[in-house]
Amino acid sequence: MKVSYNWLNSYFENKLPEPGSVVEKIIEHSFEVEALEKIGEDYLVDIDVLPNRAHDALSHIGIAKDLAVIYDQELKLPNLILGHEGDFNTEDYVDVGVADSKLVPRVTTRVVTGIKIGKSPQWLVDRLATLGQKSINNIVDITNYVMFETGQPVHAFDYDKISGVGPKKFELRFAKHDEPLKLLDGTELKLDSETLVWADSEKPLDIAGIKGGANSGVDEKTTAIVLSICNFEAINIRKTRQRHRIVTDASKRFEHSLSPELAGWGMKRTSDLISEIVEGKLGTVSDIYPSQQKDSKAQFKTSQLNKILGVDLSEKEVEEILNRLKHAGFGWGKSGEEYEVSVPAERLDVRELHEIIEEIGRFYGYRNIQATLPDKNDFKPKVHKYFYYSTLIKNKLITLGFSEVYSYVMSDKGEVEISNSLVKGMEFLRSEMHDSMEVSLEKNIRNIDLLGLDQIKIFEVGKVFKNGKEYWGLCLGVRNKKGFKKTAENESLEEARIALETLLQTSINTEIRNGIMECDIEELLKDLPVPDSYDLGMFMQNQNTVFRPFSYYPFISRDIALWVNDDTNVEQVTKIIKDNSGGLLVTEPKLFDEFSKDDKKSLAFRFVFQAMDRTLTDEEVNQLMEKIYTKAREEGWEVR
Amino acid sequence: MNNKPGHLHPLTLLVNNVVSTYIDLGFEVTEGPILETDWYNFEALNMLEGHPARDMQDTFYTKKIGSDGKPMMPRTQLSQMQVRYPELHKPPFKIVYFGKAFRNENMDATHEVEHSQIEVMAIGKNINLGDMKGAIEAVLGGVFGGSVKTRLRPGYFPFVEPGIEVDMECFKCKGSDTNCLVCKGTGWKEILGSGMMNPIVLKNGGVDPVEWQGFAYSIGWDRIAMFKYGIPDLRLFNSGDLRLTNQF
Repeated sequence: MKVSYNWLNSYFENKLPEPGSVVEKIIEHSFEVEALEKIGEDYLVDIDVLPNRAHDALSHIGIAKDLAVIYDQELKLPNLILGHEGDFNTEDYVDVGVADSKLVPRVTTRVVTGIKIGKSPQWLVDRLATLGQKSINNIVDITNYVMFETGQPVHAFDYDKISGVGPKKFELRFAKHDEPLKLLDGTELKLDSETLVWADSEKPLDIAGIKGGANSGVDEKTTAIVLSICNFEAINIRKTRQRHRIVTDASKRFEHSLSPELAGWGMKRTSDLISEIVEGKLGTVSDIYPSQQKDSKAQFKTSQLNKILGVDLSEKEVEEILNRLKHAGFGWGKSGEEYEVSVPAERLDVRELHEIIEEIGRFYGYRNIQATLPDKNDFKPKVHKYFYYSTLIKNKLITLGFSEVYSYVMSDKGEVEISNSLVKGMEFLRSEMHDSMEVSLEKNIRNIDLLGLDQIKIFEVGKVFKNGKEYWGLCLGVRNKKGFKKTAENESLEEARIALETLLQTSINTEIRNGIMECDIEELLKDLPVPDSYDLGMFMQNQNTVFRPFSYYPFISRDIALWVNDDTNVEQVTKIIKDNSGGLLVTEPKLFDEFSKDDKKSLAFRFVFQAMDRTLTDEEVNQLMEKIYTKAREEGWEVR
Repeated sequence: MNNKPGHLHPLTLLVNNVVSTYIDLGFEVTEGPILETDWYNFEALNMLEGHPARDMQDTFYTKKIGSDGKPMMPRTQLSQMQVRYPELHKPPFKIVYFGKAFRNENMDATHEVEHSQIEVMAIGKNINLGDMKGAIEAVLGGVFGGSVKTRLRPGYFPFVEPGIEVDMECFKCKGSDTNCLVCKGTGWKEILGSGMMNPIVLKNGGVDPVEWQGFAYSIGWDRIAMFKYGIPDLRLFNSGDLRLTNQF
């Protein structure tokens, strides 16, 4: 919700503090503020109104009421009490009908004649400009202004564009299937039979509560209008705007439920501004409001408030906040220990005990709540068997050189199908981990030089959905670098199997396929005891790593083999390599071969070049290698 | 890359840190299923059909029909346990649970379909917002080191009332740098959503809201890991890439 600071200020006798400190207070007691921006002589405050406050706070009056409570200041709001007086009878001009008063709890209608469309006064242009709204003409500007002021959407139809002779048929009905409608912005729509429209005897004039139609909008030739200010049931508005894929300032307000009382306030305020700004004659107000909103009250005791918030407020302090709430239209009384609070009509969010406690709590200030710790002695926690043993398993596997990966449980195949996935390759919940392990092995084997490894050894603990069951699976995968023969892939997996069998004192009967072994952890743990407590040491690992971003560009690996003197050590050689690699070495040179002959020894290293910002060329790396060769020869080493 | 034989995933490191703090504070570790019914994922948590919060969740629906006759879904949050656990256990209790929650949206560096959450909940006769603040600060202190200041402000989540957003003091600049990229110069970083359990949710779990009250909050565990370890892209966590894991 974009709000003008000057506009808010116009409701206060004593001016508000400067915008920065107002914003601080709004964040503390009401809403997050996205932005504060100076615009001309005004400030734009962009407030992220919470969904449960869309009833009242998508409006300048709503925000001003919160500020009045925060600063304990009297508000001077415009008179919003609707009278029905007028110079002529609106019913003689329009015959208002409502098809479904459940979906439209209140309909107020007023005809205004003798209008002179023209420019808006400067104050009105300025206020809308701060909000980023372009001035269109006096009538349209007033309808927008009233919505931003009260939160009640207002629509004006051009009376002469409604078919027929007075009283003209003007009804809220369901559209016919495929009935065409062109909206104010030019979009052409085909309506459906669940969409409510205002219509005359021939055609729909708008999508009710959402957007006006091009056939009935106010323009510079307009001389008479029908003001239609209604209350709509929220879910129907939401479904309609979803079907037609339109979001408007009006739909945003209606779909969160508004008080039907607001429709009356909106009509009063619109009428007053028209009288003030535009020449014209007002008709009476037609008001179809079959079931009036009931007054609502919420009760609480100070002890209940203190118990939930974790504070120790005295009755005097509570009453001080209740008195401040009067600025926002609340009232209160007390009988015995119980307070009874009357809630203003627009505050549909305050009904129950917890809701009135929230209202008082936020104005007291959640920041004033002191941190304590929950009672430790009233509950004996049990050990979670799966979490306990899976932690042991993980800790064991890393000692065997396995590293942990996480992958997606959503996959391109499985038993459980997703019906609305927006993500390709994620149309199912996986029924095995083998495939994602295969992908992970493939990915990592390509980077094996970069990782400085001979074997990729990884494991994952993750959810699997199979045979109608959801369980924790364990999957291990090993892939050897080409030519690495010291330990076969399956041998490494067998070693892990035996280690886990020893750890858990149970047998793991699962086959090894293509260097991958997968099992059901819960099955594995079936007969194991639940320990009485955790050894917290099992959760203690070094937490101080700072991630070093890696390059997404290709890398180039090179080998070098040198004859050096017997007393030359490895560090001397790696230093020469590192110092002459142009800063493009991403791994420590890895010694992969070493043997001695006579008084010489042969050392062979592999190392990897990669840039953060580009793809390296062979020539570039060749030049670096030449430099390394030259330096090596200068040391008296022989390049093999 | 460091030279330990094998490496734990950074999300495992972080959950171990967080969960051990809670175990120490007397919380019990528990868990709920990923594949969940409409009742536990939405209705029981005060998100009835047509509730706007359902839109915000970008839900994946499956073709499997749950016991409530509606399509099941990979859970959109872990809050199912606010109802599931009390159904089987009498209060008072304090529990912590963690795992993946799912969001049907296109992925980028800050949007992840399978994101990781930790949720914490306590029900007792006098469990209150002060206790919640203390439990949150204890764990943030464990993760970021030292004592961490938090700031509570109004928020809204259908399953809590009052609803509270928690900001933590910027771990990067502690409010000293007006150009800080982490907190955008505000000195605070929004870290989690929380509140006192809504009496409707307590009732749905079979708990009498007159006698009992509780708090619940949910931590975006992968987002905390991004902050803590300086990991720039959420998608790295599920990538299966050892260029991530082997740094830890």
